[in-house]
Amino acid sequence: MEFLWEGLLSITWQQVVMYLVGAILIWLAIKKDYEPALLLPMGFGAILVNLPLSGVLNQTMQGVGETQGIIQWLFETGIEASEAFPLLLFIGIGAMIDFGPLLSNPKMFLFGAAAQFGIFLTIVLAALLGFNIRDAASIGIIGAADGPTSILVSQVLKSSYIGPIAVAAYSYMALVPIIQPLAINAVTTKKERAIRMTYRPAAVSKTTRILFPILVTFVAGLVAPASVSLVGFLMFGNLIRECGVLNRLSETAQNDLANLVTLLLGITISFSMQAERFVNVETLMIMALGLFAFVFDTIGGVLFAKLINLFSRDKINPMIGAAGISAFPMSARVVEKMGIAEDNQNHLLMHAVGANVSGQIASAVAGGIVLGFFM
Amino acid sequence: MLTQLLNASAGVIGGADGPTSVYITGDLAEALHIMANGMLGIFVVIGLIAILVALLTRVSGRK
Repeated sequence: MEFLWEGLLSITWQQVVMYLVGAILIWLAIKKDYEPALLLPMGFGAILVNLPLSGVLNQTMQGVGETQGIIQWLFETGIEASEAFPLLLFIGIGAMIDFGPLLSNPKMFLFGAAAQFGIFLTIVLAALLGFNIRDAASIGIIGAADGPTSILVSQVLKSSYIGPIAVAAYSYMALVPIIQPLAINAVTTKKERAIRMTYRPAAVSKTTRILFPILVTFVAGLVAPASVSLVGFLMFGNLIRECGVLNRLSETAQNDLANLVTLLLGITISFSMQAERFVNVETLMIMALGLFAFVFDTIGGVLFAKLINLFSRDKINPMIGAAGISAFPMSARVVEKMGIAEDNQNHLLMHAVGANVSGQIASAVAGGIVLGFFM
Repeated sequence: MLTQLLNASAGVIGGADGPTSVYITGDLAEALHIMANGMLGIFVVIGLIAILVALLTRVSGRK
């Protein structure tokens, strides 16, 4: 019976906190349906890696020597050594996205760029609060509203906070329907939210759809080479989707590949949720900074739309700017819902989807640009 | 938290009887540099892609 007591007594209060964090993540996933595919594996993983002498981590055992732990191995192989998991997930995401609404209205590209403002403002705020520049840049990337990009950038920059960053990125992505309306309402008037926009999409040929991913990869690769792994894998997935001759691969990428990688990514990232690294004041600061990044992404997009309206004859509903963040399709849905709330005939969905998919590309480019500053 | 704030990257040094100076540490200066050039970089990349897509759509629309 002594070994039972030994195990129980070796639990630290920090590990108890992590069991609670794990339980909260599982509760959010199951009860609230907040990004369940990621929060549930992360929550369960948080419990797994914080059990005393957990066998999922490498351990040195008396008389046996070093034993390998599966979660540590997955992390070292799939994230630390190669960034394979986040990148492979990008193939699936690229295969899922229909860029049609964006290609038929290229003006929407600009909102994807403007809504990355929160990333850079958060980097400044994090540096101001005393984080070193690599950690500050990794924290800022939470504002990319894109889990794989956040994980990849914080891993490449060797940030000490990859766990809290991943938790913040995925939690706030799930909370977009709550965060964005508050931020949008704060910087727009009722009259602005009621601006109607007619939807006149230009026809998009198959050639354009096929050339688009190649073109984006070339431009991003030449102008911001550090972004090419992120953007390239996203566009590779999209090329598989649009080429028309790889339907089976496209479906595999969208479903099997994306599901499998998501499953492994969630549980793997929990390696960085070990109590001694996670339970500290910095984690709380990172959660606050992540929220700040999402709010200022939204505000940046909205204010940019207002700026364009100063010079444009056809007014843009400023809420479209808020859809420029990468959280797809939640952000576009938020804008559609808010538009209808002001005027039940005001359908903004297709414009918002255009800005939203632009945000997917812009967030990957932003990740690459941030990495470029350290190369 | 206190250490974090004491390590803050910007502040004001001065007193009633001496000159006041504002300081910015290297990390904050670098963060400001990343912000300015990062936003510029994103608009250049995305703007370039937007222009090329608009041209591509126009060309393929004429065919």
